[in-house]
Amino acid sequence: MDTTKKIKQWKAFDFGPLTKKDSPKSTYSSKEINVSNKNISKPFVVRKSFNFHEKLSPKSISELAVHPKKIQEVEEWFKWNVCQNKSETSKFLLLSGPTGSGKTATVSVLCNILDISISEWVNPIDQEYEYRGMKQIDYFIEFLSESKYNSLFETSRRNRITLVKDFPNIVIQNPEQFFEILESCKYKTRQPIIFICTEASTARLNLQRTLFPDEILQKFDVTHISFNACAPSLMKIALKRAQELVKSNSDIFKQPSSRIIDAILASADGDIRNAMNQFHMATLLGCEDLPMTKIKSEEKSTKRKRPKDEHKLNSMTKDQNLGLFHGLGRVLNPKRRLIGTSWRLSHNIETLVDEFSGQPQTFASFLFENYLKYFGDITDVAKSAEVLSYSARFFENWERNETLVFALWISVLGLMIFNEHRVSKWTPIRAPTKIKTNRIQKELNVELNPEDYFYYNIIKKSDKYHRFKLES
Amino acid sequence: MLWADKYRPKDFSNLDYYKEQAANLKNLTKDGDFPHLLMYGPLGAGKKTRIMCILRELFGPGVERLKMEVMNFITPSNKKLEIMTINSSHHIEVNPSDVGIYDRVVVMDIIKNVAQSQQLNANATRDFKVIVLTDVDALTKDAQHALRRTMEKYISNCRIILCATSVSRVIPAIRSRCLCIRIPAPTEETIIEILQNTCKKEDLKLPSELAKRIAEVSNRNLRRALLICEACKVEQYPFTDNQKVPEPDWQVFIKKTADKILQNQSVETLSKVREDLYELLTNDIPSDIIFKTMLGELLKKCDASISARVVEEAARHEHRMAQGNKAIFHLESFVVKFMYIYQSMMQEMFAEF
Amino acid sequence: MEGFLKSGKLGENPEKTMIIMKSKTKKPKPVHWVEKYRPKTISDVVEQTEAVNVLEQCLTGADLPNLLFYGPPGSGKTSTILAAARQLFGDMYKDRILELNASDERGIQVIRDKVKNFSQLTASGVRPDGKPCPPFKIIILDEADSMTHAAQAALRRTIEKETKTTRFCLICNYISRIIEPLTSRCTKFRFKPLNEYLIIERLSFICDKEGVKCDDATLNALVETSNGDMRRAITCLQSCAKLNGPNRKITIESVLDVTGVVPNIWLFNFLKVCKKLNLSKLQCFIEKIMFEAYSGSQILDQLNEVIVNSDDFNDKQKAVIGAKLGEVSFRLLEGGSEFIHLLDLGTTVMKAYAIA
Repeated sequence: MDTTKKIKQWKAFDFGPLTKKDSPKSTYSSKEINVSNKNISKPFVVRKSFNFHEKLSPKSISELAVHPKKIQEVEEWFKWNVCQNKSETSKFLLLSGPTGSGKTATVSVLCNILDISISEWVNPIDQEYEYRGMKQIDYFIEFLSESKYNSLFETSRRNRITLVKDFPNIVIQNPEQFFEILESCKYKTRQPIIFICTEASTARLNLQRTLFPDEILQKFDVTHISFNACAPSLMKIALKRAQELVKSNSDIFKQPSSRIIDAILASADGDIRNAMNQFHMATLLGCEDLPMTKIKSEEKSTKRKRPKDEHKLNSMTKDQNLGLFHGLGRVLNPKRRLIGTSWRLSHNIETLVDEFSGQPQTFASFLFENYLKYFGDITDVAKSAEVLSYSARFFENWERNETLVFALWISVLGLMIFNEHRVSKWTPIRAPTKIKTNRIQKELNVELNPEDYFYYNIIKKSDKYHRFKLES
Repeated sequence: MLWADKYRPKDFSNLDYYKEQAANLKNLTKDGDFPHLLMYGPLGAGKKTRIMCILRELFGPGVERLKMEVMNFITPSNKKLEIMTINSSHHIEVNPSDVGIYDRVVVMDIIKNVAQSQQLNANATRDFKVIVLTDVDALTKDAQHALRRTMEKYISNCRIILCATSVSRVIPAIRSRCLCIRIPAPTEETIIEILQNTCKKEDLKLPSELAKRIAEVSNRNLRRALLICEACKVEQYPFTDNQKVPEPDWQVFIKKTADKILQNQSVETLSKVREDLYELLTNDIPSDIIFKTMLGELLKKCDASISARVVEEAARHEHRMAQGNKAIFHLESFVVKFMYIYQSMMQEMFAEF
Repeated sequence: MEGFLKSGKLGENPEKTMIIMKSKTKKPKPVHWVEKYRPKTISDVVEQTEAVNVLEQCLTGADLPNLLFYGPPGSGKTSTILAAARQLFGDMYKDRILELNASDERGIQVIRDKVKNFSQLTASGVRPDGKPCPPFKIIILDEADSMTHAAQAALRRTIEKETKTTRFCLICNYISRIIEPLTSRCTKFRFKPLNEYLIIERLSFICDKEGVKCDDATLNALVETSNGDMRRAITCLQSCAKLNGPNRKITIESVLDVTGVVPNIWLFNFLKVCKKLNLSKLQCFIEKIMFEAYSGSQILDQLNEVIVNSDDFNDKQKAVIGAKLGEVSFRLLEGGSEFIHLLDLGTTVMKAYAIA
C-alpha cells in the first residue's frame, strides 16, 4: 500500500536533453516491468520519459515563431550564398536579436530543409586547451579557417556552413584581434560563416556592437539580419502547438489552465524560449499551480512570480535597456506616499538598486548627468550634490563590488529623499558626458602647459588649440 | 621657435638666477657618483632648464640632439599603451602620467629597459644613463611605490631625475632616496630683468611699466611671462606703457563663471556652470587649477562672515577630487554648496532690514 | 671561551675598516655614508642599552631569542642587528642572514617560500675558520609594520616551526601595527630617538674621516632638523658635502635647503598674517609660500611644533588648531592641493584667534 502511494507522488521530470540514439521511445517505452517483490501484485509502472523540448522544437518553417519576412531573408541568403556554388558570394551572415527570438532555430530549420550541414564552434573548457599547449584563440582560428576541409564523417557533398554563437573571451576583450581573424577568413575559407549575436544592453556585453561595428560590416561584406522579439501572436500559435502536444500525451502532462497560458504570454516579453520553459513547468504533474501576482498597473493580465534566480537572469539580459530609463525615472521623479504626517517612498528602492548593481557606475553617471533638471530648489541640490560627490569617492574603489553597490545606494537614496521641490516635466535623458582630454601631440623643443595654449595661439596666430568663448 | 625655448639657458654659466645653487649642482656632476635627484618647484621656475644643464654637464653637448619617439607598452591586462618620449643617446624623458592609471607599467618598463641597455659607446664619459620623469606628483601611489623599488634595484647603471611641482604629493620613501633640490619661483624683479634682457636680444624696446605689468600677470611664472611678452609683441609693436596685457582666456572664462554664480543662485545657473566646467575640463585645464582659480574668484566677492565656511567646504571637496578622477562631481558639488551658503547669507541680510 | 669569542671579534674590526678605506682609495666606488659608518660591533651602538645588554649576553653564549625592535627611524635598529650578526657569524654572516625589507615583495607567498626555504637550510655550529658559532640563522624583516596582516599571520606559524634553525628579528616603527600573536612570540625592545649630542659626536667623527669642513653651529642645525634620526642626519651631511664640492665649508643655509626645512620666519609670519584676520592677505601670503616651493607637509610639521610650544594660544585654541592640523595633513598626504588646504588651516587659526 505504502509503495503505491509513493509511486503516485513521483513526478515525471526529464532532466537534460536526450540524444536521438537513446530517444525515449526505443529505450523506455511503456513496458511493464515485473518487480521481484512478489508481495505486491501491482507491477511498477515506469513512466514514459518524454523530451518535451525536442518534441516542441520547430521542424518546419511554419512552426517557427519568427516573422515570415525574416525567415525569407535568411532563406534567400542561404540559397544564394550556400547552395549555389558561386565565387562572388557573401561569406558572412550576422544574425542579431534579443534572447529567444528564434535565431538559432531558424538557422537549424532552414539547414534541415536545404540539406546543409552545420559545424558549430564551442568554446573549449579551460583545461582542455591548456593541456594541449594551445590557446583557445588558436583553436578558434584553426576552426574557422580549416573548416574548408571536408569532415571525414560527412561523405555526401552537402553544402556546409560554420556557426559561431560562442565567441572566445579574448576576442571579446580585444575586438581588433577578431577583425584580423575575419580578414584572414575572408580569403581562406570557402565555407560561409554565420555569427549569432544576442543583444544585450551593456556596451561591454553587446557583442554585436563591439565585434561588428558598421565599418566592419561594410569592409567584410557581412549580411546583417536583425531579429525582433517574438511577436505575441506568433508566440500564441507556438503555445497552441505546445498545448496540442500536451493533450496528446495527457497521461504524463496535465493541461495548464488558460489563465496560466495568458500569464505566460504576458510575462514572456517576446522570449519564446523562456515562454516554453515556463509552459513546461506548468504542465508538470504534481506541481502546484504556479503562483501568480497581479501586475499593479491597470492592465488586467497577471504576472507570475518566478523563482529568484530566473528573475535575475532575465533582468540581466534584455530588460535592462528599458530598465535604465525606467530606473532613472523612478529615482529622479520619486513618488511619495503620505502616512499621517510622515511620508515614505512608494517604490521599493531595494529592487531598484538591485537591478543596477551589475553596473553601478554607469547608473550613477546617468543620474549625475540628468538629476539637475528635476530639482527646483538650490538647497535640495546642495544636499544631493554632496551625496553624489561623496559616493563618487566610493566609486573609485572599484576593486570591490560591495563598495560600488553601497555607493549606488547612497546616491539613489540621496537623490530621492532630498528632492523636496520636484520639477515634474518631461526632459530627454542624456547620456553621461565623456571628458576626453584632447592631448595634442607634443612638439620637439616646444614646451607648453594647457594653461599657456592661449598665448601660443596669439603668437603663432593659429587656432591649433581651443579658444574659450568670452562674450560678455 | 618661441622665445621661451629660444633663450632657454643651456649651460650653468648662463643661468640668470640662483647662481649659487647652480654652482652646487655643478659640483654634483663632477663626482663619479651622481645621486638620484628630485627637482621641485612651481610652474615656470626653471626646473626643466636646470635638468638640461645638469645633463649637458654630465654628458656634453650630445644631450641636445633630441628626438621624439613613441614607445609602446602592454599592460598585464593586454591593453596597448603609447607614450611619447624625448630622448638623446644619454637620456630619456617621459611623463608617465600621460597614460593615466597605467603609469606603473610605464615607470617599471622604462627603467628596466634603460637599465638593461648598457651604454654601447665605449668612450662614454659616464657609465650610466639618465631617466627624466616629469610630473611625478601626478603619479598614482602604486606607480610611486614601484618607482622606489626599481630606483634601488637599478642604481648601478641608471640615474633618475624626478620633476614635480608639489613635493607633498611625492611619497616620503622616494623623497628620502633622492637628493631634493628646491627651485622657488623667480621674483617679479628677476622676471622683469629677464624680460628686458630678452627684448634686448630681440632688438626690441620694452617699457619698464609694461614689463612690470607682464610680470604681475605672469604669476611669477617665467615661462608664461616670456609667452605673454611675445604675445604682446605680436598684438602691438612698438610697445606702449599702457598696452593691454592679455590674460589667459581660461582664467577669464572662470571669472565669468564665478560671476554667474554670484549673480544668481538657482538650478538654471548651475546647469550653465556645469557646461562651463565641462568645457574647461575637456580642454585640459587641470582640475586643481580650476578649483583654485574658482575659489579665489568667489572669495573675492565674499563677505568675511561666510568665507571661512566656504574655504572649509572647498578643502573638503578638493580633497575628494584629488583622490579620484571624477572632478566634475566634486566641482559641481562645491559650486552648489557655495550657492547655498551665499544665498542663505543674503537672505539673512535682507531679513535684518 | 666567551672571552675569546668577544676579543676575537673586536680584534678583527679595525682591520676591516682599514680594508674598506683601502679599497676606497683604489677604486672610487661611491659608498653611502650610512652604510659605511654603520656600527661594526654591538658595543659601538649608542644609547640603546637594553638591547645592547641582551645581545651582548647572546654573544657570550646565551641563546638568542626572537627579537622585535621598534622605535623611530634612524635610531639604530637595523644597525644593531647587523652588528650582532657580524659578531656572531664573522665572515660568513652574509650567508647566515636573510634581510627582507618593504621594498621586496612580501606577500604571503613570499613569506611562505623565501622564508621557509632559507630557514630550512641547516646551519653548522662551526665557522670556516674553525671557531664555533651559534648553529642558527637570522631572518631580518625590516619595516615589518608595512606587512599585511595576512602575511604576518603566515609568519606566526613559521616562527614556531623553524625555531630550531632560525631566529627572527622584526624591525618596525610602530609596534601597534604588528599583530598580537607575533609580538608575543618575540622579545620586544624599544629604541629611543638618539640624543642630540650623540649624533653630533658621530657626525663630527664622519666629518673628520671624510675631510668635510663643518662648524658646530651647522652641525647643530643639522641635528635639529633630523629629530634624532641618525640616518637622516648622515644622509643630509653627505648630500651637503656633495653639493658643496670639496674644500668648501658647509653652511647652515645649505643644510636647510637640502633638508627642505622651512625657515622659521615663514611660520611666524603665517601666524602673524592670520592674527590680522584678513583673508585676502592670508591668500597672498600662502601664494607666496607656494612660490617658494616649500613642501606643505613640512610646513605643517614645523607649524605643529611652533603652535604646541607657543604662549600665544591657550589650550582651547590649540585644540581647535590641532584638530585642523591633523585633518589638513591627512588630506595633503592624499594629494590635496597645498594652497587650498593651507588656506583652510589659516582660516581655522583665524577662528582660533577670534575665540580669544
